[in-house]
Amino acid sequence: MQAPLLETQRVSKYFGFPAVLNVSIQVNSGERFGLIGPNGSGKTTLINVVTGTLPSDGGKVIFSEKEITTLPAYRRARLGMARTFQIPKPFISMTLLDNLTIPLRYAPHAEDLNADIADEALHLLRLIGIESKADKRPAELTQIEMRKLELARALALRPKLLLLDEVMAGLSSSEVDELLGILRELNQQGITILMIEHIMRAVMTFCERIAVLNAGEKIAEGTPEEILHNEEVERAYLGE
Amino acid sequence: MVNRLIVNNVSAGYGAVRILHGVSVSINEGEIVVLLGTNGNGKSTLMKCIMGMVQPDSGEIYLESDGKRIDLTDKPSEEIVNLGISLIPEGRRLFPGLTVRENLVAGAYRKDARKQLEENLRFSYETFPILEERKNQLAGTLSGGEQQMLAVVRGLMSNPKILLVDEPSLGLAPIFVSHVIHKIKELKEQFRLTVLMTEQNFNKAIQIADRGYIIVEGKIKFEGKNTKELSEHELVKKFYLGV
Repeated sequence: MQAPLLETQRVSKYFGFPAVLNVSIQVNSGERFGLIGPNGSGKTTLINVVTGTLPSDGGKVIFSEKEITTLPAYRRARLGMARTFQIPKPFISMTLLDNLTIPLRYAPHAEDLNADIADEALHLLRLIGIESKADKRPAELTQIEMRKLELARALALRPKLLLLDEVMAGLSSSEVDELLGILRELNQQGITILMIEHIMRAVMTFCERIAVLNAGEKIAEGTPEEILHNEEVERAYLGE
Repeated sequence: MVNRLIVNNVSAGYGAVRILHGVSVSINEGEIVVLLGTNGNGKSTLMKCIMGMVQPDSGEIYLESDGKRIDLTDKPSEEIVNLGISLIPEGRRLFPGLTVRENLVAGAYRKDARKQLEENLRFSYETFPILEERKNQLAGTLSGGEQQMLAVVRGLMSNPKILLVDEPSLGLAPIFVSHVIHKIKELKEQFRLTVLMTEQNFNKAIQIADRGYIIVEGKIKFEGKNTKELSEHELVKKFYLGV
């Protein structure tokens, strides 16, 4: 059996209280994995510890069979993990094209690209469907375009693992479908996806496996079907 | 005499980008009106116009109160807040370096609201008990969803008569989405709160809305006199119901 692409072993993080407590998850290569739980249950904190945005206070993070627990964020990124943020964080004074050429210049494959960086940036914008806004600044984008830009910036790294923190929040159901279509395509191209999301229709149709956090601890893990019928999940998260 | 908020033929935008093209909506006292439309169609801009944060190029925005007409377009935002109109903005817009409690107190700055500060704080903590647990924590250290909860109750701290709420359930877990939506309804029933709301979770929104508008590319495309008319409209089916 192949080792998981990402593994956390009893990872903890404290902010005066345990925000994440002894959480172990395994995400297999090529998988679509969901992370759900009530607000403040530690989902984003876990992603922050995995990506190196925050140091962990215990446990191990393993990626591509290497322990990365204490690596700085940029080195984890170069190993092939990329993330999006809940509130998109583009360079607001730059055009969309420049917003992509910057991460491309620092990507592990930057040397191969060389003079083609602008082409690659345009290619990414096309892939995500915002090519027509290449010379616009982020302030002129709609919400969904902003989310798409955030996604394109993460893809500039050519990640093996894409960590998505509520990329669909605030989108209408037709926009959710559009984004899910793009994500399915990326997954088919071999990108493993870990998704934090509250839009149940999206999580339940997209993810193959789901872990549920509550007050920093993992309370359930399973297929969407199993999660939907888990009483503790219903009590803590789904409600009526 | 029914009090009303009226937006009549308003056009507005940012620089060369024109967002609203002759939008007219009216909201009667005690009604919950939902504003539907996908992103980038002008819902938030309309709310900002009402609050005086964006100056319309043309058109009128006014309150009809006890037979008097109070124009809003010539007023700064703080005077509009003083008239009892409050906005819960999209994207939370908290003071990250202030504590949870300080953010709530800041929300009660309006004179009429100060008297009821303690009562409204209690209401906020009852609505979202996690906020009381975190009351001395800096708002910037809350999780995204907790920040959303704080933004919602901060908007209520000014004791509004008219509440404009832009995507109240954004980023909330399903269990809290129901909670927020039902709190808004409770406020309407107890205090005749008037609400104009945008919400992408259509099925939740119509549980409490009385009626609504569909806005497409800055124009009102449809006015639904009740939620049935809205649910049956082809645009709603297309945008929200996945038909």
